[in-house]
Amino acid sequence: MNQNPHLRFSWPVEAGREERLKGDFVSLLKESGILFPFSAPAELPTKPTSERLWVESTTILAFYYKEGVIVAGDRRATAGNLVIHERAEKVISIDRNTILAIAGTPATAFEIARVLQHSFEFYRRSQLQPLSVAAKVRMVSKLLKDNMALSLQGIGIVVPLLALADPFGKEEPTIYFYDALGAQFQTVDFAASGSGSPAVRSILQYINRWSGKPSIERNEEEAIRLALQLLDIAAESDTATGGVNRRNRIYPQVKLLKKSGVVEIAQERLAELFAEAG
Amino acid sequence: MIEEPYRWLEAIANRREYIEDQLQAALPLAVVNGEPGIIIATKRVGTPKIYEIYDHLAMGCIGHPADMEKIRQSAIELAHLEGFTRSREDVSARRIVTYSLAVGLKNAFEQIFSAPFLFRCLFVELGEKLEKDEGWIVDYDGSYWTSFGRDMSKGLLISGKKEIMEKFRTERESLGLLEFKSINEMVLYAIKLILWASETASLKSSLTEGVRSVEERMEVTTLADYEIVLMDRNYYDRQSFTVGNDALLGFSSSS
Repeated sequence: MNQNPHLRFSWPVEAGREERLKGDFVSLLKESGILFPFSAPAELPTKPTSERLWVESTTILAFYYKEGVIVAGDRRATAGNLVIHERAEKVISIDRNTILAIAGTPATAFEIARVLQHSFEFYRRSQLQPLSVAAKVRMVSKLLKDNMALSLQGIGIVVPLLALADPFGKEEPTIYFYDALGAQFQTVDFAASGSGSPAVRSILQYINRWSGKPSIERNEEEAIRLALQLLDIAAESDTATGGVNRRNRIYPQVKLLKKSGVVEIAQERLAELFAEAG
Repeated sequence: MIEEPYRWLEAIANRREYIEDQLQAALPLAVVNGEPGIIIATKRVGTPKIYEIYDHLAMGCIGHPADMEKIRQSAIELAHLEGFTRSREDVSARRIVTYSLAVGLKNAFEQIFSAPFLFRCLFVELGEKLEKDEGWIVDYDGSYWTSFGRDMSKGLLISGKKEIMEKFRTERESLGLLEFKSINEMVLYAIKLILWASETASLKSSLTEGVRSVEERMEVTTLADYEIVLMDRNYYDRQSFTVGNDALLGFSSSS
């Protein structure tokens, strides 16, 4: 009846429309002809397995501290041995209660982050209620699964970390990590991803087991200092991790997730805290 | 019937009369801007009437709930698709209203063999600065009227009664610019406009007199009677839509 393609007044009989009324932004993208998820043509040559399974060049980490969760990531972006960018943003606020940290192919990772940002807001605005934590966790998993073709060819692999706070402020914030095919795992102490993550894992395991002051007992300042130190150490052994570059004033990205939501830590405060740490 | 021009005109006139009649009972909704942002307010009833559309866009409407819902969903879809495929800066009230809402509403209004939309709205865009704020009054027939920047501080009003809207629109021109610095002042002015529009018994008294006379009645009204949303300029680059509560709006909990 209506000629305007944007105002679909013949609701609710159109194909795909019912899905969107449930707040599904990805269905809207598909119906509008905007390609997502990415899919690789089947005839693209795949690399041998040994070359394919290279580790993502970066370091991202998340751990619990006294008031919630801290998420941090270095700022370096590389292409093979080449450093192409020293100010990449890998710790992304998806909404007021969600942080995604990305390791892997930037093109896919940023697109996943953009889809998540719009999907969560689209759901909240259209349904007049926020998306639940469980649904957010599953949605990241689904996007990774949809990206399987590129992951298997070794050209679009993404291994993110996800930190979420309950939008109703009832539950404590939680950390999830994923594998490249979309399996999701909830962690009880910390998670790290990327090429510099082995060093971070070892140190956090030591701290949580033997230091006498596990990360969850540390306050905000101590947690931020620890995150900066971890990335600094990761950068010592991993050329793909930027760490802390004091000369050029490039500090990692650090975000906190409290019960009340995301708090971004300014570069100036990071500089102060890192200087205090010696 | 539509082959005969006179009958078509008659059908359209009947349709307009029917819609106006159906909207008569709708409670007024007011928008006021100032330095802190934009206030959208209406009397609280069962269903919310003020909706978030995008980071810096909101819509307050009156009409049939099912029609409001269809149009709300369409506006949200449009804004999000545009924001995703282009960028947040490309999502604007002007484009949504003039290229989509108005066109769609006019088409639907002129389809005389189908049920019309019982709908009227105030579409609002928060600017980075007060001068960039926009308010669009969009009617069921696709016609729209707009106010920008500081002019919006005089207020914008929609009501179920067309004559009240017209009186307000004419007389607001004589009001000086009201430069609101606090949220509290903006809320009080919006409530005055709502009270004026909902309780004015006579259309004979002027807007200025009317607003002055409702000040006495302000004492018996409480914030809980109103649905109030602040488009917060502090969060212009993020999600600015904030549902008002006493503390946010600058009132003590006892007021």
